[in-house]
Amino acid sequence: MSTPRPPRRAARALACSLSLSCSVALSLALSGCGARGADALDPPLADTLKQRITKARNAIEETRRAIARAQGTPYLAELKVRLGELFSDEARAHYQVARAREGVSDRPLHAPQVKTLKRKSIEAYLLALRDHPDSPLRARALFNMGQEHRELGEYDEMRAAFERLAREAPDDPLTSEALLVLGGDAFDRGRLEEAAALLERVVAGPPHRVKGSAHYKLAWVRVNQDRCDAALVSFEEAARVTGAWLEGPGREDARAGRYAELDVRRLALTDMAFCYGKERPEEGAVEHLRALSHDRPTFVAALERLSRRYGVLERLKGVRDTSRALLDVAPGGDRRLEDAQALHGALKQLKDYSAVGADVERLCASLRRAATRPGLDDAARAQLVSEHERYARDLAVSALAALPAAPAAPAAPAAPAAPAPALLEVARAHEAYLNTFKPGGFEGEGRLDLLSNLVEVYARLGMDFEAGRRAFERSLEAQDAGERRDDSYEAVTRFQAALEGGARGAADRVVARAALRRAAAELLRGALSPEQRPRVRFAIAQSLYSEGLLEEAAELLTAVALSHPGTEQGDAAARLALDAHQQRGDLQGLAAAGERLARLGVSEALRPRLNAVVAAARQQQVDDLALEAAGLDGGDPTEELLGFAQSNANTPLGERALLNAFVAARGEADLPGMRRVADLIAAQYPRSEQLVGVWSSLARAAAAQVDLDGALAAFERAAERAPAQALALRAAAAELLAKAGDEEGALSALRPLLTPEVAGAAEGRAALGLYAALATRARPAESAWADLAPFRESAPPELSVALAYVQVLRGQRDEAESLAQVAVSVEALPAELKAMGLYAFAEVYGANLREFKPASDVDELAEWVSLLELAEQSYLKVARLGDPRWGAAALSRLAALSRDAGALMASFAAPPALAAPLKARAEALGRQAAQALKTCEELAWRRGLFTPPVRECLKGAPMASAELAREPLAPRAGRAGAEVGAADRALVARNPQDFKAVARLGAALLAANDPHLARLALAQGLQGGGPELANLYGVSCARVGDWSGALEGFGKAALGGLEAGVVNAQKALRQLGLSAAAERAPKEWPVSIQGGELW
Amino acid sequence: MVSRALSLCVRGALALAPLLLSCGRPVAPLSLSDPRLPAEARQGIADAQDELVVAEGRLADAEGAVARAQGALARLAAAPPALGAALPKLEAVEQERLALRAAERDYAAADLRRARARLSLMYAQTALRYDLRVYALAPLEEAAAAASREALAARAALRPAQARVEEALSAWWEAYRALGPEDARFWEGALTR
Repeated sequence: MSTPRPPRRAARALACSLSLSCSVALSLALSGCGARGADALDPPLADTLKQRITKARNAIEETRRAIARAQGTPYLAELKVRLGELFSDEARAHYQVARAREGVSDRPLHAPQVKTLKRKSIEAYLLALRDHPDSPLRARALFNMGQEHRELGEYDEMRAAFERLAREAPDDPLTSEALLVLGGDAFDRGRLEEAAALLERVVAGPPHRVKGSAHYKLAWVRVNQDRCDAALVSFEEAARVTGAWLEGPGREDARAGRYAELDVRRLALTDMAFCYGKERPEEGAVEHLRALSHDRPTFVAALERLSRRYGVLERLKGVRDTSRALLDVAPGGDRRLEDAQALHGALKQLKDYSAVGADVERLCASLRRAATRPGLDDAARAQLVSEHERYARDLAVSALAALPAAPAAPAAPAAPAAPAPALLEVARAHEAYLNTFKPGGFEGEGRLDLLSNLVEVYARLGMDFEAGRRAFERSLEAQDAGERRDDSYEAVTRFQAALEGGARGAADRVVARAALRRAAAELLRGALSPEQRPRVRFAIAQSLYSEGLLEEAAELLTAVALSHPGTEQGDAAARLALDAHQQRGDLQGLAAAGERLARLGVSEALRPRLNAVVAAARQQQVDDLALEAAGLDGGDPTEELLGFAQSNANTPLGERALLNAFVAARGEADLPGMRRVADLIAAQYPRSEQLVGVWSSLARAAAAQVDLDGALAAFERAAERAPAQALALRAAAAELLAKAGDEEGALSALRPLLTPEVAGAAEGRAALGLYAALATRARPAESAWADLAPFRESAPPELSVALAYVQVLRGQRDEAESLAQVAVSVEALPAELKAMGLYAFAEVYGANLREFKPASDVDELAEWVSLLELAEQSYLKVARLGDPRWGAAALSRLAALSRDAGALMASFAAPPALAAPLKARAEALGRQAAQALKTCEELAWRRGLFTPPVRECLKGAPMASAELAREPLAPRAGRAGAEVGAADRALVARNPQDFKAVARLGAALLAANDPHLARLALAQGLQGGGPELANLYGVSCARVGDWSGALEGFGKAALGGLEAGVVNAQKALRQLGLSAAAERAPKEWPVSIQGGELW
Repeated sequence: MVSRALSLCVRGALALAPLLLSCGRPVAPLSLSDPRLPAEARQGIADAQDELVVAEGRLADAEGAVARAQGALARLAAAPPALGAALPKLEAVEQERLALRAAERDYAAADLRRARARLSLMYAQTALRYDLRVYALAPLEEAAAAASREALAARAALRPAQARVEEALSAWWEAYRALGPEDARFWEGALTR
């Protein structure tokens, strides 16, 4: 507002004092002329101010002179106006001197010079106005004159001057200032309408530095007119317009600090509180003020005023919002306690706890700022702390109380539950309190209660870790022992739940485990209720488990399981204890622990599961044992497993271990080991269902290692053990016997097994096929027929082809042809049997051809030729199969057929027209006979095959009958023990392609005088084993009387260029009466490798 | 001429000296970055080196386990819980555990020696194979085989040790169960043990 004007009484007093001081001064001057009297002012300031007076006087004097000289000049008016201003300057200087002398007080200043000089100033202005009515400086003169009148208290004259200015220079910038003064004057006189009109002229005008002030004053006019809505607009405009001026055209003035009194922004915002609180809604008030404020102090001042206004009006939301803002932004001080109090009161009355967390944080932050101010005495600090503590605690507790109660049981859908955000706010409030009022911080008498509350809130939120942490904290602070134990128990259960829930960081888990165990340790030192005891113990053990201390966890979990069987914790502990062993890979420990728990007591419900886990562990233990041992250098899985089996004798586990040991030994081709383990299984587990498989596996392994006796014995044991499989097993044994050359023995072994019923089954069919093949090879036709005929009915294909061959030999061609159809119709026949069947077919056709003596009739000749071609093709079909016996026989018989047919054809009394063709054909047949014979011979020289049919061909003559010569082998005399070539047997069993081992084994067996076994062993290497091995094979075959085999071996060796092969072959050929072939041998088989075993 | 022959002999001896000298010396390690070695040789060396590192780690773990077992036994001796007749059973468990850990440590040590022997053998074989150096392999092979045997023997000793631990545990847990309500004494010190 304007400078307070002195009352008239004061003006008279001023005049009196001025006169008095003039007298005193005059007397002093007269009395002390020349002498310097004491001055009331401090020398430096007085000198400065007096210098200003002197300066002003000098300026006045100079200006007067200038005026005198400037008559008629265009700047004369300015000089005159300037003169008036200089008088005013001198008056101001005198005023300042007087002020400096008398200090700031309410008493009127004694400075008579001021009035005199102002009068002079006014006179100068009047003179200027009179002398220069059209000067552009008129407005300045009028304005200055008005200001002088105003400062002299001559308000009527002031008004006259300003009104004249407004009238004569309405657009002059000074007019706005004049109007502003007039408006203020009118306001002071209570003439509100007039004031408003004047001020509105200012605000309506162009931008001016006093426009903001005009708005401000207009706002107050409106306030006094009880027009708050308009007042608010004006206040806002005052702030805005002033800000725009100071940041724009008035920037320089603002920087220089000039016209500071014109900055009404702060005043506007603070003064608008009265109307704002009344007229405007509370919502958004803080933000509105923030937007209008140009700096923080202004904002804070406005908030304070508005906050108080809201308090008076009891507009609680406004109190709340403004108090919040003040606590956030205002500097610390005593007033903040009021704000805290106001906020607390508003929130309580509003029951608004929606942001209670932030509010309590706000209170606590405010306390921290306020309580740490330097210079604050202890009592004041204590009061601050006490008040803030009370407010913060009350809000936190009230907020909790305001929440809907927690459901006692898992909430039914209809039961209202406190929403999580509300609970979180309450938690936040409690956290803020506890983090502020704590040991080492500010004292808080409600700490324990709030800790309890917070535990409850976190529990309701499901935040077990936080609940546990606070419960643990309370347990450390509580004084009452019972409370400590309750808190410790709460901490244990909450931390346990947190650890079970997972999804916490590693640091939180470490904290949870450590705190849980510490709380639990505390509980364990006292008495626990029957419900609590297992829970606490289990929680401890489980915490070790979750930390990965599995061995320690297993110990404590076992203790829990044994101490609390049949409880939820006991069963869980039992399961976890086993799991701990599992995780450590300690299968033995797991199984032992499981068995122990089952024995010492777990709930019946858990027992089956426990037993299953133990059983699985034991089985896995056995498997892992073998696996591990196999990976070690020098490790022997068999021995490991045998040791384990011994430790678990007469148990399913022991049996499993022995079986695994057997498999391990088989993997190593350790035949003695397999036998040993098989004997152990048979001795310790005679009812084992696996024994049959063990024996049969042992038999096959023995056969692979050429342990004939061992294999036969094993097959027999297996057959005794499993009558249902006896046929297949004994058939396998018989096959082995046959391979070893004891065909009669094989036949004798098979015969008792074969019955017509058995023959119909798949196993019986295979056995019967073997029997048939053996019978046809080893026995004369009639004997073979006697053996095989009983199975004629529904004979399987294998038997049919054998019967076909036998019937051919017996001259029963019709039945033979019928039986041999199988060889054509059934694809899945062994190659040898198929060849046999086709051979029988060919023999039937050949026999038919021989019996058919055609007459000279052309038709009969043609038919005879057709028969011939049929027979030729049949033989050729057999030959193409490549079977060494039947193919050679077919070639030989083809040669015979062709020879005989050619001879017969040549003797035909054919019609003349056919004579030549017949003759040609007969010659061709002769050539065909020779070719067939030659081809048969070549089987010997090119493929090293010397089967009986081939040997017949080598004699230069084909087979006279269809029957293939039998080659019974010599009975087995020597019996090499299993130790002969044992290492090589194992090598060969592991790798049948290890021909060196095969050769060594064969040589060892020959040296041990068991050529039968040597023959079996060396046969494995005949294909690809090289000439030396083939030669050895030949030697072993020769020693048992297998001439086909011997010559095959020698022949392959000779084909490979081995000298011994040639020599041995020659010897054998001579022994067989094939001298010509013996002579031919060196020519057919040139030697390239010297040496070799000679037979 | 004689001097020339002599100088030739000297030069020949000097050339042969490294070969002769290396036969009885310790095996020099080979670097994985040796450019003279092909990839498969380096892989073999790397595998053997890895085996050694693993064995060293296992020995360190085993020694730590022994120390922990010793600590547990010492703590039990220092503050024995009042378990009455059951206490000796608990002590027996800790003693057997310590014995088992010692056996495991012995096995780990033997395995480490085995890994070292294998690595030396690998170096020697590789050097010989690629004409880098000459070594007598037989002693190295024998040493490796002997170390393997020793390791296997140490391993074989684990099972009876474990069996004794299980036996002791069975006796202890039976005694623990017999404590009945007095088992709280076991729990009192459980966390500090």
